[in-house]
Amino acid sequence: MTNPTAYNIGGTMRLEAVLARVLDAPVDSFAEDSSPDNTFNWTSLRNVMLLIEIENEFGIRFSNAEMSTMRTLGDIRAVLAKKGVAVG
Amino acid sequence: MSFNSYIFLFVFLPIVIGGYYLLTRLFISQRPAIGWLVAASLLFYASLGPGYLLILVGSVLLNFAVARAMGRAAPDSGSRRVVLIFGIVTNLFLLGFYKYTGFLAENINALLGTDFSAPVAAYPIGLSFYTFIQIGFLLDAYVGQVERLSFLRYALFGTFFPYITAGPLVRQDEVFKQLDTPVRERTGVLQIAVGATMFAMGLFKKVVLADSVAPFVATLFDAANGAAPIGAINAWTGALAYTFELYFDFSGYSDMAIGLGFMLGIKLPLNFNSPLKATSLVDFWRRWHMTMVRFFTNYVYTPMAAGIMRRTVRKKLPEPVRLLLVLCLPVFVTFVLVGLWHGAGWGFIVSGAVHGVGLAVNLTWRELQAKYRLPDIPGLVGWVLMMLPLIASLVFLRAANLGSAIKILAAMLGLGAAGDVPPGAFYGTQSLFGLNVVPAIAWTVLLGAIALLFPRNTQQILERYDVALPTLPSPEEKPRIRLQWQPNLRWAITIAMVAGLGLVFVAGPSPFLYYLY
Repeated sequence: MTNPTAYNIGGTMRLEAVLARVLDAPVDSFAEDSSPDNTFNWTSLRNVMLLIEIENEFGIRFSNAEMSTMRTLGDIRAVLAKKGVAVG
Repeated sequence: MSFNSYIFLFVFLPIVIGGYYLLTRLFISQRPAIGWLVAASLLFYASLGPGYLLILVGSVLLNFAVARAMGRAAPDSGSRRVVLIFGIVTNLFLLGFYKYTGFLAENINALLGTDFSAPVAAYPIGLSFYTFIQIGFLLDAYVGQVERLSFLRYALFGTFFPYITAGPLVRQDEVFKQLDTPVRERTGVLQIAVGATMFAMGLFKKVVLADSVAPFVATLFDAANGAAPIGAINAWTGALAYTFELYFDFSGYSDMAIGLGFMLGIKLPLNFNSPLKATSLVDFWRRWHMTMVRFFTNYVYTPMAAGIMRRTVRKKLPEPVRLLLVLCLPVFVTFVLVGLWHGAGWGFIVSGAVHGVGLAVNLTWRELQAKYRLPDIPGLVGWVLMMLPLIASLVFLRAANLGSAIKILAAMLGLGAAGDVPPGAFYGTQSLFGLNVVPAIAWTVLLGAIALLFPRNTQQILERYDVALPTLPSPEEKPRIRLQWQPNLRWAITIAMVAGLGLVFVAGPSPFLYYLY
């Protein structure tokens, strides 16, 4: 069970909010399998920026190994969950 | 003893597979079978050159001891970090000693007018590969990702003969996870049939396709290293022939390695996925030597890009500066290192730099395309823009020196010295059905047609059996022709012909090109 206060911002999830901000896309436009391969603005530069913004948002630091496994939104969520960050 | 030698094919391999399967059926524990594979791997490696075995065994013992020492230290402790750094530096020192001291001495002498001489030692085949495989292992062990480490399992991981000489660059979890499954579940008649099919196709690619153009490639590059003038057609023919030779040689080797692993119940990661069909340089590097790209992405590019991005976010640098620092600089540095990893010489460095610049341009274009909603580049144009830097980089990779490479590239641009001879006189001719043909051109066209037009690659033909582990994410392709291997008579005859041709062409085994790197 997740703590809603940990990720809700006005009804939207914090993780999706970071994606929306960095990728310049609507917050509800992402699916679990969203990735650079199927998301128009998700370029290489924005991918690195996204990971760093997520680090800043949740006050964590990804290892190289973790960074290399995060390809889709679902992957990011799984790594965050492993690090004890509740993101829905 | 190489994969494409009769002694390997008719003596070593049958004995290794026979003994392995016998041990897997005689004992419930898989330790005897793993021990058998370790012994076979050591024998295989020893056969490649005297003294090589000591280096491999020393490297395996050292890295196992380093991993054990890290395991005893507390996570995130200073001592654990010191042990990791010691392990990586020692590995790089070993690699540097055998591979780079001559190049270093040569450049110091040229710069300072000194007279240093490097120790002369034969380069152990595969050192670049098993050094990087083990550095990857140490980095994983440092962050606690290695599970159930034992010496026997590690000895197999560090010496396994299918990949020890030229990859694929496996990750520890790819091998260790499979060893957790009982060996009888990973082996059987199907594994032998599918693995042998993959191996046969790889052998065909190496000895029938790649080796057939090797003499013409040598003709061009030897001429470039001499005083002979080279014309545009001859330069293009040889440069293209080398592009296809390297592809079929190395992807053929990789197919053989994957096939061997599959027969022995250990799947290896995919290394090639029709790279010459790519329509951009970024796309190309997702399909060519994929395990090397994965290594450099994970351990060089990503840490560098992430580290720079953290600083640029803190300093709120504008996007163009970020683009330059976070994307272009790391990709350029990474590919210069990729070039240097291939060999000690300015040609290797320039070869990597060509890709570094090409990729930086390609990635910048993608950013601009996303930002300004620019249209896609047509596939054919993208393919040409991928092939041109690729061919140029491979000329630098193959040429004996920078001067030879520049001579070939100048000739390709029509700037060659006067007095060149026509292709027939340069490469030789042959009579075929009453026609006078230039085999160099005929073979190059044939290889190009196969690389670009054959509808399915080897792992796609065997995709129903998941012959290899996934390496890098690649977009799904919907083939127009479903060419799928099946255990039936039609395929048995087809693969028997492929294997038969391969065996006929194994007249005198030629070394795999990546044995040099």
